[in-house]
Amino acid sequence: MVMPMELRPPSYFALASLIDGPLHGYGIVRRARELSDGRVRLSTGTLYALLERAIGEELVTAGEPYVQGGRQRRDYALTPAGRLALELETERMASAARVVSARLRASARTAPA
Amino acid sequence: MIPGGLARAALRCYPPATRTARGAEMLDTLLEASGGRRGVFVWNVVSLVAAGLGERARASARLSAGRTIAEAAKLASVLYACLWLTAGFVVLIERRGWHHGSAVSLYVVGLLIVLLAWSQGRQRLAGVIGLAGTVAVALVVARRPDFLLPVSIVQPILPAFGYLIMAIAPRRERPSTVAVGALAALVVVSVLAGANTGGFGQLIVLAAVSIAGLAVFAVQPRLAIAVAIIWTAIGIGLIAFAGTQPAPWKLLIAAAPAVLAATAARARLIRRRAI
Repeated sequence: MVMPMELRPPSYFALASLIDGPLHGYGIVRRARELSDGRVRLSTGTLYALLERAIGEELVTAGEPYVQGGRQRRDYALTPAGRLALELETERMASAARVVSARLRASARTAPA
Repeated sequence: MIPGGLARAALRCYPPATRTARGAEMLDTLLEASGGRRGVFVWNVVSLVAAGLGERARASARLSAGRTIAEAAKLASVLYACLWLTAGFVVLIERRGWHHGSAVSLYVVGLLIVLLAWSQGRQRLAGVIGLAGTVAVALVVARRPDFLLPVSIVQPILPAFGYLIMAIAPRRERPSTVAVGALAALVVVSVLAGANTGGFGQLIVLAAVSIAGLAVFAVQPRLAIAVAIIWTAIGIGLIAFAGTQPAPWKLLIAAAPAVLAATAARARLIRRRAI
């Protein structure tokens, strides 16, 4: 498995949308938009490109196709490696945010009024 | 065109394998995500086109250097066959009643079989007939260098390399009506342009194919490499047999190495992209 160094916001929120269980393509689009407060809007092309690469890197598995309400669907699920990648990226961003927050607070205290 | 039709047309940017595996699912996701909103639909279709072309680019970047060059060499042989076919037609038109006309006719038929076999995915057959035809031409040209004057811009040795790869390592490809149409258009335009210009029309057509190769280079570099091989062959020919030609023309020899270097850089760039 190749561990990505960094997940871009669309990939991050697409993977995060699968934390609570498998979802189909449109389900991922909706959930990623909810989780990101509307900041990440996955287009169909972006969604399937990142799913393809996530499957290739064994971060996500694709289920068998099925038809629901006349629509062709397939469920995607997070793998243990995908969950780990998500945890590492979350920790990386949290760590970066802590460092910058501390610097901003220190700068605010020393700055002239 | 109805939205579904437009989205299906955009799906054609993806490789056939992806369309078969996920095409219906992607189409339904697109229509569901668009929810009847025109702007969102157009945005989704554009993203599908970009992602499809990106996937084709990644697929071509995954091929080894050897495989990329081998496939380009095959395509170069096919383009050569078109140019030789054009030259054959031009000879038959300009020298009607010529006593060598039947030999040229036979050669033209052989090239037509090569091109038809290739376009129908019968690479081994195309390679074997192409090799046989190349040997025959090489024997004739060795005895009479002026025999097929308009085709003297291309050497018989380079296409033989591509034919050899077709014969010993054929690749299963589906018959393509698009390929037949493109080759037919190439030959017709080349004949019309070159019939009265002593083979100069072939260079014009080659330049047009080069522009097409550069236009699709980011997605699929095979055509650009194939055309570059031909330009390099022309450059070699100018250096070897036409010492009086202006020096810039001899720089054509650098075409294939330059395009191959650009292809390697492109592959590295595509592989390095983060998820």
